[in-house]
Parts: sequence; C-alpha cells; structure tokens
Amino acid sequence: MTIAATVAGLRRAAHVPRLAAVLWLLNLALAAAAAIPGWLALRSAIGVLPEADRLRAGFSFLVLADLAQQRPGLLGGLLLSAVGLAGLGLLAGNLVTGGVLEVLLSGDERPLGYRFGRGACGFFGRFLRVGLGGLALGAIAFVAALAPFVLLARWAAESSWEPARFVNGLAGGLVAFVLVLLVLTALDVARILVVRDDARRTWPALRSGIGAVVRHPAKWLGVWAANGLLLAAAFGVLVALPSALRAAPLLATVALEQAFVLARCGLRVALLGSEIALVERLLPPAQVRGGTQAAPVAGAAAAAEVPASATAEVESLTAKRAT
Amino acid sequence: MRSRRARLSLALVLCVGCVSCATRAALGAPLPARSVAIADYDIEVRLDPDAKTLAGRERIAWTNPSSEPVAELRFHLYLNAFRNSQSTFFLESGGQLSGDRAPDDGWGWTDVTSLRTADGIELAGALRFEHPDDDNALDRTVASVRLPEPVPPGGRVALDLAWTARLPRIFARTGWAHDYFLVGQWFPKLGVYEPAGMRGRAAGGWNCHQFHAHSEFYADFGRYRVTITLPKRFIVGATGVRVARRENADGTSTHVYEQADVIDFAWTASPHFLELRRTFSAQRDVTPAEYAEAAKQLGRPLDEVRLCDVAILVLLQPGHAPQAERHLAAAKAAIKWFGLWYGRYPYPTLTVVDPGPGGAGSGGMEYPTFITAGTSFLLNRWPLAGVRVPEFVTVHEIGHQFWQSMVATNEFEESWLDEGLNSYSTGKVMEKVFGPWLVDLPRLRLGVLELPRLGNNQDRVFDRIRTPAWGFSSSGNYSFNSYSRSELTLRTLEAVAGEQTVARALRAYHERWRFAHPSSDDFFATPGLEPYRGFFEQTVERPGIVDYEVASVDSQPVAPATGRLEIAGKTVMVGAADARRAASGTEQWRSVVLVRRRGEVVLPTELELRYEGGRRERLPLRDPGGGPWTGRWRKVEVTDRERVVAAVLDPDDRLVLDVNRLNDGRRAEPDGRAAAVWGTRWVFWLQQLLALVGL
Repeated sequence: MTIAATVAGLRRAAHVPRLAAVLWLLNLALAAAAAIPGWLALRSAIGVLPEADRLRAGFSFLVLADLAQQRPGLLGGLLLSAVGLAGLGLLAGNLVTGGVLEVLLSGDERPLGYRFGRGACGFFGRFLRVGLGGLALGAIAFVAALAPFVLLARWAAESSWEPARFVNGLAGGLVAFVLVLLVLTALDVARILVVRDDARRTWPALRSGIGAVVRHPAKWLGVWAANGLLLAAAFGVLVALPSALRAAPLLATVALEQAFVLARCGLRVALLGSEIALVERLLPPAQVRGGTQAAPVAGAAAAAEVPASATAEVESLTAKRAT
Repeated sequence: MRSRRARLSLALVLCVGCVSCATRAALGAPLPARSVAIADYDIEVRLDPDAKTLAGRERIAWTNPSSEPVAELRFHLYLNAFRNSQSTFFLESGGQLSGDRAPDDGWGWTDVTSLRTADGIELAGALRFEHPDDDNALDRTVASVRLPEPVPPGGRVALDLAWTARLPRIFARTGWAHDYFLVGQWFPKLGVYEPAGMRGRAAGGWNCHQFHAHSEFYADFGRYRVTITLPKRFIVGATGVRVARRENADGTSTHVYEQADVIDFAWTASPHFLELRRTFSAQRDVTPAEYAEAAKQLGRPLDEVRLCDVAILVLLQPGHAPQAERHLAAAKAAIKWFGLWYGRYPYPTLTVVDPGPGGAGSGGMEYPTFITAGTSFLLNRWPLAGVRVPEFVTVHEIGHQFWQSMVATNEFEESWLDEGLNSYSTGKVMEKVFGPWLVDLPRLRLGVLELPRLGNNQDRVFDRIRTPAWGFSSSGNYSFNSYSRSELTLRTLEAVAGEQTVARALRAYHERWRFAHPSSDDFFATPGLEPYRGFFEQTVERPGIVDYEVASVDSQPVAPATGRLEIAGKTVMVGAADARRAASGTEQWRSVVLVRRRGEVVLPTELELRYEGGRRERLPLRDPGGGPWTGRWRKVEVTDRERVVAAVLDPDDRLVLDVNRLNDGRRAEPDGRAAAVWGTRWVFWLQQLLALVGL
C-alpha cells in the first residue's frame, strides 16, 4: 500500500507540474525577500575587506569571529530574519497547503491559479485551527515520549558504557524525529479531510487524522520514508557535484540549488498526493463507509491508478462538495 | 600469564632505561643531567577500590636549600580541595570545571594521622591549616608544622607521616569513576622553600599555594619511591619505572615505582586498560635529516640535539582501540620534536593514560613521565576521525614534561610560563607533524592557530598575561591569557624577532632552567630575548591589545595644473582642455591610505599597496627615528601611474596577536563576490527553512 500510495502521489504531482513551480516561486520569493537585506548588509560589511575574500573559497571561523566583532549586529540580524521568516513560513505553509490540496482534490475546469487561490484563502483559517490543535497535542505527546530519555540521561551520564549517553541522546532524537513526522502527518491528514469533506469543524478532522496515524503508523511513515529517500537522492546529486559547484560560476551553483528546491517542492506535492491516496484507502468518506454512496471518491479506486482515474476521482469530489 | 608479561615488560623498560642512560652519558650537551634533590619521598599506599580510600605512609626527606635556618614546613593536602563546598577550589570553580559538575556523592579528603620526626616526636597535633592566597579560613589544602629544631642551611630533615584519604569522584583532575582510578595530588607533599633572591624574592620563605580552580603545580625536585598495593585484577600505570611487582596472598598485588629528578608522582589503576607498549627509538624514529634540521636551526652540533630511547606505555580504554596508533604516533611526535627543539626527554619511561568512562575530568593532565589524554569513541572512525583532539591533547600534555615538569615554573603565580609556552610548542609540533588543521572534516576546517585566535577580541583589554591564576577577572580570561594569548604572543614574537631567534632562545632558556624554577623575568633575560624586553612589557606585563586598521583607501586622478603657470620660463594661461591634452598618456593617480592603531600595543608592521594592474608594493611603517611606528593614525600618500585599489597591513598575517584580522585591509571600491557567494547560500538556507516549516 505504501509503494502504491507513493507512486500515486508522484503521478498526481507529475500531473500538475505547475503546482511545484508555484510552490517554488513562493518559496523563493519569501526567502529572497528575507535574505536580500542580510545580503546587502553583508556586502556592505565585507565588500571592501580583502581578508573577507577567504569566504569565496569556503567557510572560515576566523572571518566569522572577526565579522561578529566588527559588525556585532549583523549576525544577530541574520538570525532574527531567519526566525521571522520561519514564523511567516508557518502561516504561509497553511495558505499554500490549502491551495495545493484544493488543486489536487478539485477537478473543476477553472485555471490552476484560481483554484490554488480559492483553496489557500478558503481553508486558511481552518488550517490554522488544525495547526494550533496539532501543536498543543504534539507538545503533550512530545513531553510524554521524551520524558523517559530525560530520566535515562542521568543514568546514561553515569554509565560505565561510554556510548550510553550518546545512544540515549540519539534514541531520544530519533523518537522526537518520528514523533514530529507523525504529528505532521496527522496534520496533513486532518487538512486533507477538511478539504475533501469541506468540513467547517476542524476538531473531528484532527481527531480522525490522529486516529489514522496512530492506527497505521508504518504506512504513513513508509510514505514519508519513500519521499525522504527521493529527497535524499536529490540532495545527493546536489552534494555529489562539489567540483562542479566549486569550479562553476556562481550562477550555475545557484541554478543547481534552485533545481534542488524545485525538486523538493515537487516532492512536497507528491507527498500530499500520496497522503490523499492513503486517506482515501484508510478513511473513505462516510457515505462509502456506510455503503449508501456509490460515487467514486478520490482514492477509493486503487491508489496506483493512472492520472486519468485520479482526475475522475477529483471530479466526483468536486461535485460532492458543490452540493 | 600477566605475571610473566609483567616481568617481560619490566625487563624491556629496564633495558630501554639502560640504553637511554648509556646514550645520555655519551652525549655532549649543556643540558643539566640531574636535578638537585630537595624533597625525596618514600611512600607506601594501599587502595581499597570499593571504599575508594587510600591508606598511606610516607617518609619525606627535605633539604634546606637556603642560607638561613628554617623552622617550619608547609605541606599541600590537595585532596582536601574536594572535602566540602567551602574549599577555595569549590568556591572558585562553583563545583564545575571544564563542563563537568561535581557529583553530590563524590567528596574526597585526606587526614594526616601521624607526623613524626626521625626522633619519634609526634607533630600531627601541631599541624595548622594555612590560607596564604585568600581569606578562606575553612580551606584545608595547605598545612604547616613547626619543627622542634630549625633545619640549618643545607641541613636535612626526615619526617614520617601516616595518612588516610578518600578519593573524590572524578569531575576535575583526580579521583575515581566506576573502577577507573586516577590518583593525582594524593599524598601530603611539601611546598617550595624559596631562598632570598630566587624568582625575585626579597626574603626566603615558603611558596605553598592553596589548591585553586585553575592551578595546582609547583614543587621541588626529588627522588620518589612509591609502593602501591591494590587488588591484583587492576592494571597499574605510574610515574617512573616499575622496579618490582609481586602478588600477595590476600589477592592483592604490589607494584613498586621509582623515579628521580621529578616534582610529583601520579598513578592510575583500572582492570580494563589495554596495555600498548612501544619504544621511541632515537635512531629509528628520528631521521638524520631531522637531526640535521634541528641542529641547524638551533646552531648546535649534532651531538647536542641527539635524543634518548623512551619506553612508551599507553593505557587505553577498550572502546578506543581504533585510536591506539593515533595516541602512539602523537606520543612519539611529541618526544621527538620537543626533544629536538628544547632538549632530550631524559626519563626512560612515558605513560599515556586514556581516562575511563565517567573519568573525562581527569583527562588532559600532566604529571612527571605520566600524562592523561582525552578522546571519545566518536572519534574512532569517519566522519569524526579528522578531529585531531587525541593527538592535540597527547602532544600538549607531553609538552608539559618540558614546560612545567622539567622547567618547573610556578603555575600558580605565572601560569603562562607553562601553559603559554606549552601551547605555543604544541601548536608548532601539531603543524609540523599533523599539518595545519586541527579539525579537518569535509567542508569544515579549523586551523591549529585559528583556535587561539578565535577568542581574541577587543574586550581582551582587562587582564594581562602575567597574573596569578586565581587573579583573573573570569575563568575564560584565565584560559585565554594563560593558553591562547600567550601562544599568540610567542608566535607574534617570531614575526618580530625571527623564528630562528625564538627557537634558539627557547632552547637556551630550557637548558638554563631545566630542573629549576625560573620566573617570567628569568625568561625575559634569556640570551637572545633581551632586545625584546619592550615587546614583553607591552604584551605580557600589560593588558593592551594589538589592533591595526586600514580605515580608508582613496584614489583620485591628479588633475593637471591649470591657470596662469610658469612653463619653461614663460608665463602662460593653461585652460582645462589644454591641460588634459598635454597630460594625455601620462595621467597620474594620487592615492591616500589612512592607517590607524586602535590597540595599545606597538609592533613593527608594513603596509602593502595593491595597484590596479596587479603590482604590489610594501612600505614599512616606521617613526622618523627608524623604530616601529608609534602614532595612532597615519596617512600614506602615493602618486603613481596606477591607482591603489587596496591596502593591507601585515600582508603575511604574521602579527597573529591582532584582535581583528578583517580590518587589517581595505579596498577602494567594494567587491561583491564574497557577499554574493554567501548571499545566495543564505537564500538557499532560508528556502530550506521555509520547506521545513511547511512551505
């Protein structure tokens, strides 16, 4: 089921390639808006300093330390802009996910931009509520899951087995990582349910999302893992060309980096597509579950079906939502 | 099996010792062969590993080195630093040192139960605790006792002590962790009686400091014979040569160690050590070219730089087995290069101890012929094998054999003389043997000399290097001044005086003061360093910083003369157009570079002017008298066919004491390429951040 859902997700993403491009453009626009002031400040700080040319060859602790001394506000400013951008990104993420899900789940003939905007605006408030609920529940789960590792830390620190502390930290980190993935998945599932059912009340969707993830963690994590492997492969390509990155002009490097970001955006769309496929398998609409509705809903068909089938599914969903 | 192995080991050690001594006798050298034995110790100690206690007896024989009678003796009782939270050590450290925190159940202490003269007079009741460094009357790390009879000048007194001790749980330097024991600062030990004139003293007296958070070493040379009894499952390492080992009927074994010409004795025990034995061969491990290189640099005959064989014992944790060769290579490199540069390592043995789990606080310590290293299982293999911490720590601690153990400076009062000289020497060995990188990971490197430079900044104007270890404004400033700043100072001295001058001076200093107690003034007075007294006054005796800056670079075309001009004896009116036409092809640029000295320290430096066509010109900055430029600012003006596009002070980056390398140069016009590289990278990183939060 995991492989089928992954393939279905990739097909959905490939079916609307412009969606990844929209995501990439938004990502680039926001990042650039936040980065350009820092870039200009950096240029003003180091442009006239020949010693800073060492940065062209790579990172230098010494230059960084001297820069922090010479322009004490610069690094703090960069950090602040990153934090601010992360906050903005959280809000923008809700907008964008609404748009992506609307495009993936709706089948009307209107232009992609229109559907994207409709989803982004229409579901923003509800997604925000889902996010806040997920954050609260996630925090509780986080504390509960990591408490044993915190308690074990003292034992590990005093253990005669040297790696104990490291292993405990690593295990805690892994658990935290998996937990974060599960919470993010539950949020995605809840959002898919909100869009699919056009649900006004978000709590039931979040509850269903958590329930689905808790009942079938391996399936969801499998989809994330498959997506993660593809991302790792893309990252591998980015890293495996260090000679090209170093020798090539800056523009080539930037192009390669942006290709990676574009691939990452495509994989984000594919992940949502895979999750839609899994949702339709594990959480079919109530009518289908009750056996009274014969309409073919998205994912009710085999997740690995061809895009044409997916189009038919989303058309039926749209028809349902229109009623 | 172990017994047979031990006998073989002993034979090997003794054999190596013989070779070493024989070789040493044949070598002509101005190095002192022996110390003057002031304080001799014969100690018997028994370890109870379950109770973590020691029961010891010792005979101390002390010779009065002064020309006046001495009626009082002073002892270090350093395990009492861990007695309670009221000790000076605890108050200074806050129960936390180098990231390790004192455990609640880890107290350690020592109690002298008997102190008798050779005549049998009991003096234990007359012991008084002293606190010469502060007003902490509750500190029990120094004790004094008045003798029934003063010791006459050159006279000798013997005392018999009995004592018990509980070792602290390791968080700093000494103690136990599970079944690993690092037993340092463990026995009642005499301070140093300094006669009038020694280290600038006006009158003779005891120099016996309390145990501080940041210093612990200053002692007289002597002969040690130490008999250690403990359960036979333990593997033991210690200062000196093991001359006997026997197994006892009660399941214990007894190990006897001896060493002369040392200032201290430490030992370790653990059932888990991997024992690795190698010999540093003065013939095999040093090439003729290396001998020749050292002799040439020092201006000495080859015989004077020849080394002795040394039996190396590495006691390694089993989990660090993949790092065995790294430790051995570092130990050999240190024996070789410290020996070649400063004088041969004179002892037949060297023991390197890898602390056990939980015992990291005892790592990175130095005792005569015995050091503790420091590593982690994470450094066993890729990707972190490129972190050269095990090599760095091993080389550094072996360096202390030369700077502190043999040239036995007072760490309490002048920590820079051992930590600073040793940090400088360590950096030189690391660069020579292991290359310029202390951290050499994919896309991340940190240079050996970058590490000390990272901590140097404009705020380092409040403490001076020559300060008692407990007298710095903060722990960070103790560390920076004693280690990093001192290292950078000596590297900068190389730039000022020349590498060869410094190398020869350090050799001469070591030869003069091996097995003795020099002060900073003695160091400054070393032949070859006398002309640099002013340098040391600025950098060691005062807290000033070095900070040169190119504040601006401006280049403008020289406008041709216009107006009513006298040309070839005629008065003519020259308009702007005519002037431009006349000057065509011979345009000149007037460049002005504003140089500033932001720091207090004055050093000789030069300014490199970089012209548009790629030509470079160096101008030494001097005062009219020819000495280094002492002003606070200066305008350097040049008129040339080419314009100056950049100016850089200290273009070879040799004044490493400069707190800000970045402002040492400036361009006339900005170059955005470096900013573009990192600006686009910054965009990319922010994009990844956005992706992480859902966009």
